[in-house]
Amino acid sequence: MKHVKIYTIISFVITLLLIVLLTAMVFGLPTFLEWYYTEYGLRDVPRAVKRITVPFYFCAPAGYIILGLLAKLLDNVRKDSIFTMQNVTLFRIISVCALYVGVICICFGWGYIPLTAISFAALFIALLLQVLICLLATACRIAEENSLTI
Amino acid sequence: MKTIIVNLDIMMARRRISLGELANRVGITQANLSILKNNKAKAIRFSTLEALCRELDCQPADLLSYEEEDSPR
Repeated sequence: MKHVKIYTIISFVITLLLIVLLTAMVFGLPTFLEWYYTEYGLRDVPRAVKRITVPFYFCAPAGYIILGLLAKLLDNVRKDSIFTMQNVTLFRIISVCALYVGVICICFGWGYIPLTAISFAALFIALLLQVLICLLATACRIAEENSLTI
Repeated sequence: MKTIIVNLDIMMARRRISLGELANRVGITQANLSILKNNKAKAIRFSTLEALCRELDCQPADLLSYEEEDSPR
């Protein structure tokens, strides 16, 4: 049980770091991309920057929601309230956000390999989460039955 | 809809025993016994049923019945 607590704390710290990283990217991505493309002597900098920043800013709110909900989930794990319908709902929202990211990346990145790869990854995560939601919902039902067996 | 009803309150009244005392004798918490008494339980272990029958000096059929959920008792 001790190692679960340690993993939970490590995951929570990583989630917080990702929130900080996402915030840094929200404020600094266009500048970074302009520097990067200029440094490597690529032409048509504004178009390349636009191709990445526009879908990024569309996906950033979903990223904040996912990271916030992950922090909430880890907090629930820390409090030992794991098999609850609240966690199922949190997973469902995360899955919808991943689906949204996948769709946005497909729409904006059609024919652009990095964005297409990200969209497939996001859609795969959304699918994986749907399976996990089914498992967790069943586990919740069993846990409730167990706790109501006298 | 017909369902299993736990008549623990009736038997407790007949034997004039309180919830706390019965919980102590049976060896389960008051909270769990209350869940059982208020028909909120999803299942009952044979060991619990056995202990209840022993302490209340009754048969399982005295504690459990199969009837309409909102029928008057």
